Amino acid sequence: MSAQHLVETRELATNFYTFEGVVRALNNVSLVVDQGETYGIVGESGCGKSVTVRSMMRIVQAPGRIDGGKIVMFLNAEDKAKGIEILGRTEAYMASIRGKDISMIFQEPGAALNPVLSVHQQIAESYEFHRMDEMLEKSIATLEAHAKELGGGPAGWWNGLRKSLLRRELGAHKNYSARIQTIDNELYKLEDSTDAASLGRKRELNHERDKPVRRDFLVEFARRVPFFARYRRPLNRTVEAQVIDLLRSLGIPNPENIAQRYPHELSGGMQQRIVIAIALACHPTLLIADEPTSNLDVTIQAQIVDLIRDLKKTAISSVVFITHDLGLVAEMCDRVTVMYAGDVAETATVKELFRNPLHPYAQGLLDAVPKEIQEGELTIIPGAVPNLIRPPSGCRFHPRCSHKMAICEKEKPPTLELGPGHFVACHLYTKDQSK
Amino acid sequence: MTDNLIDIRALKKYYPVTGGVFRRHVADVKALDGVDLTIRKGECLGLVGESGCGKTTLGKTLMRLHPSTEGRIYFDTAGAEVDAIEASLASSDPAEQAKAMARLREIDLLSVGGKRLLALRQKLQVVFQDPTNSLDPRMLVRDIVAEPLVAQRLVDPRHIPDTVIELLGKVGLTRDHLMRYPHEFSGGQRQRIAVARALSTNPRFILMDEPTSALDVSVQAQILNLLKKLQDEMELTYLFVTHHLLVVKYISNRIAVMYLGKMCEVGPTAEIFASPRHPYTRALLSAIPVPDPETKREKIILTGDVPNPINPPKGCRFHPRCSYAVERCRVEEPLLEEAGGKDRTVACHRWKEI
Amino acid sequence: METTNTEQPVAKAVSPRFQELTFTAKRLFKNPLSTIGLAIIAFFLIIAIFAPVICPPKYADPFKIPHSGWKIEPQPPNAQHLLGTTQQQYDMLYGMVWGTRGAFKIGLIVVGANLIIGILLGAIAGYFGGIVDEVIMRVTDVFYAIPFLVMAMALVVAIGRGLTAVIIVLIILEWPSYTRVLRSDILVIRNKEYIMAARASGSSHFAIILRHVLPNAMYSVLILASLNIGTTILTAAALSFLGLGSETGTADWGQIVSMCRNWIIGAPGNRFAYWYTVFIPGFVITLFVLGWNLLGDAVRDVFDPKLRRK
Repeated sequence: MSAQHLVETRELATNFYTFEGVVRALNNVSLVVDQGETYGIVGESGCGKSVTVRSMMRIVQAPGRIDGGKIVMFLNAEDKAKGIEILGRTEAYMASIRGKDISMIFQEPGAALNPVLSVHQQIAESYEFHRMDEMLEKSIATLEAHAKELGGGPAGWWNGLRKSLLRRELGAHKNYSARIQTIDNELYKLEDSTDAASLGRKRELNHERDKPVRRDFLVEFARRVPFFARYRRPLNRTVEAQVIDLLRSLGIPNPENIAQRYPHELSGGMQQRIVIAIALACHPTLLIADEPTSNLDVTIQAQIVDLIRDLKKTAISSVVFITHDLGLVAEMCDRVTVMYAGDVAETATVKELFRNPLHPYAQGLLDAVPKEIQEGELTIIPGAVPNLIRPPSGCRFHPRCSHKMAICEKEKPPTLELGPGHFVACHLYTKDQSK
Repeated sequence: MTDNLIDIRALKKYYPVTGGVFRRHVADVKALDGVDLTIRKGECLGLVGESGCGKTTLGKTLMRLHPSTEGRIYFDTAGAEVDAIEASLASSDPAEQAKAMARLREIDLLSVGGKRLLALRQKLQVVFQDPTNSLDPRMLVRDIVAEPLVAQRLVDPRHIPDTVIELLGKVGLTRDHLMRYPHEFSGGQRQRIAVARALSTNPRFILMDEPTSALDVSVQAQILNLLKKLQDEMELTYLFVTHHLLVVKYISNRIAVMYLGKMCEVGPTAEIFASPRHPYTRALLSAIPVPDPETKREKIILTGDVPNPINPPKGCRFHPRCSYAVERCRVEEPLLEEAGGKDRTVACHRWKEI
Repeated sequence: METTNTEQPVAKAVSPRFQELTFTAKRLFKNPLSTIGLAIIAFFLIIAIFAPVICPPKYADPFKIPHSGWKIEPQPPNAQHLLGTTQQQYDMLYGMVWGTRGAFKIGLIVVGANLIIGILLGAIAGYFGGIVDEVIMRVTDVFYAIPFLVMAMALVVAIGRGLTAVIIVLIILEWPSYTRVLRSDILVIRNKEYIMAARASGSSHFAIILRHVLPNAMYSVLILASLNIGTTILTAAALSFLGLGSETGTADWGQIVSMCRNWIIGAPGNRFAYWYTVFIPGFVITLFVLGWNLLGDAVRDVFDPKLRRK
């Protein structure tokens, strides 16, 4: 396995501080997503699959908190060697990679879309936040192309004014990007140093990093004055064209019309496509799909799954696909992790997992699903998912496990590699069996 | 041939759509638009279809939880009598029709009332999708399970605890669970409580309205096995409404596929899965994700969404999404007809050619 | 088969309803403010109960305040009158103590009657909907459209002044808010699946309202009621102050404030000469209302579905 890593979590622990007590949602979760793969995370409700990816994006909401571990990302060419540990970075840094390098789509498209903004406005937001430089450059180019036709006179003068205002804005954005780039580079170099001087420097840099774009006086003025504010129209047109192109590339029929609609006017399947469009607006390296089809009908699910699979071939490098549906995992994923109650139970390639599941929970889960050809009764896993305020000791699966041993109650099983790329955390297997 | 327990004829359910300041009636949502369906004694009939196809409405109308717009439902009526009444209704003789109507008021599930309805309720029960919503959070398990018994005065109040314990035993719970509130239970246990409540009146028919959709995979299997066991033990008949096709395949003997308020195809489970005749059924079956990475199947991916049931397409309702549609499909509505093989019916003009 | 979770006790000695109650009580006492509120209400309750012991009545009607003489000028607190006297020498302490009984009477009767009317109409409107709902809700709209205090004064005058009139008027004017709150809660609850399950069980509408709808919808109304007792007392006091409530010389807080109206500005050269005439009844009313408001907040916190366990 020499694939390049993309995201790695090391011993990630996320807790939720609720009224009832502390919910230990993630119990030191370590997993690796590689470049170019579709990575599945399966498990039942409360197993921590959603919390894991939310932690990766650092969007765990109160009362949740990431209390330990590391999340390392290998997003850009220059930091592929060591990766960036994102838990140490500021919120502004996260905002700059969310949506640009990693995007996420959610289970409930209705809740992920803002009901008072049109589809166009919601997608445009992403372009204006992450790809402003590019949009401005394009708009200036269009204006320049027009300049010759217009010639002199008031029309030409107005064209020139627009151009210079847009150039000023572009300048400000470029300065900002360059500044951020230098800060990020310096932070990257300092990442592992822990002496007092570099810690202080890091704090300083992080503070500097959080400052927003500084536009110049003329641009600020023009944006606020009614007539002059029209200088941005070419920009809006550029963004609109981008949005429609994007919608068309996702196979949405009649994109001009759809772009003007509001979420409630669209069906569930169409809403989910819009959510995907927003997620893909900036060509992310990683798309995280958190049960994207669980609330959709089977035929619509097939459409969406097909769309994601196509995009995987053309637009995005890696997909993390979260689901409780083993059928979808079998169809979509290259590698898969089975989680149970905040623990990683087993990780393997899909074929390996379905052919030779090693963890008793993975075995039980596979047997509990009705198959295409089902012989006899379904085998069941007794009991129910435990309450994670008081999780079972040792291996969290032991109260429901049919292979329970004395050690299972006492010790959390170590993760062993029992085959190439086949990792299991279970006391049934010993180091000798591992390769 | 086995007898029919429930015989649904020409069932319609329209929800009025009101508009304007005075809430005038402007249109109808045609949730059920002329549905014929028979449920046989002792079988489990799977009712599948996508959201908005009317499968839940059918169930609720059957349970008299909604009033119906039109149609008749015969419960445990001899086939000969059903045919006779239907023939009289169709005849042009007004006296004959009046006689049939009078008889319907006594036996038709949709028009009986008062004591007769209460007596029928005893035989028909329901289990809903989400046990978190279907159990009153402020009632004890004992009171929840005993509710039908109390409402219909079936058991002496003094024997209620014993009866409830016996029912809990049937669904795999114990007397320790008697005096608890629903929030103290896991999802699977709550659904067991809901099943126990449905069993309390010793019913002959239970409507299962997506009983496993809200449950985890490992718990779903527990409930499915429980339902199967109970069906054998208590000679129950199920109407199993779901959108999960592999679950239907596991539990039902026959399947009915609905699309936009109409039946598309009805037939034995194994045969439908082996050779679906309606293009919609084919698309639906091919879209199931199969939990086996080794098999790669050709998928039929439908274009577009389910149309609006306020204004369904003319002719065959599936034609705008159907790749086999011809001119006839746009104009003429196909009827359910016998289609190659015992008890298979399909509503498609071109099933022979496909 | 699913087994009992090991962490749950096998059998419970106490009834689960009692457990629920103790849980609620524990929550109530966790918050210091609600404990203060409870203490204040308890204090007033004790005074109301032991009123005949603290201030033995002189007349057949205990609500008539005994007065020593007809002297106009109020007297400051002294050995004979611990809290001083009002004009015409009515004993302030007696007024405050027996006024507590009056306040409880007004608050509880008004809120109790409102609860009954509000629950009855709200349940009918919310559960059945349709034309009944429409009529009841439009009637409440009419009540909301008229300024409250103006309407209250007009009605009291029409009925004839006196405490009974005040109680009746407050009942007439306050029920719409209870009806509305209950109705909106019921609109949510009536679409829950457990209501459908109950109907499928063969329960009658009456049984469903009684067993399922009301127990689940009662909480916001109860919160409203506990918060409303304070405001009710304030309104009653305001009406008495305006001279529309009880007669002169009755043990009623609003009436006593009213009697001290002329002395609020003090004497020439000494503005605080008669401070006790305003301060004592004012303080008592404030404390009483504060007590109920704190308690109401506590009740709201306890019943807040977001904080309750699932």
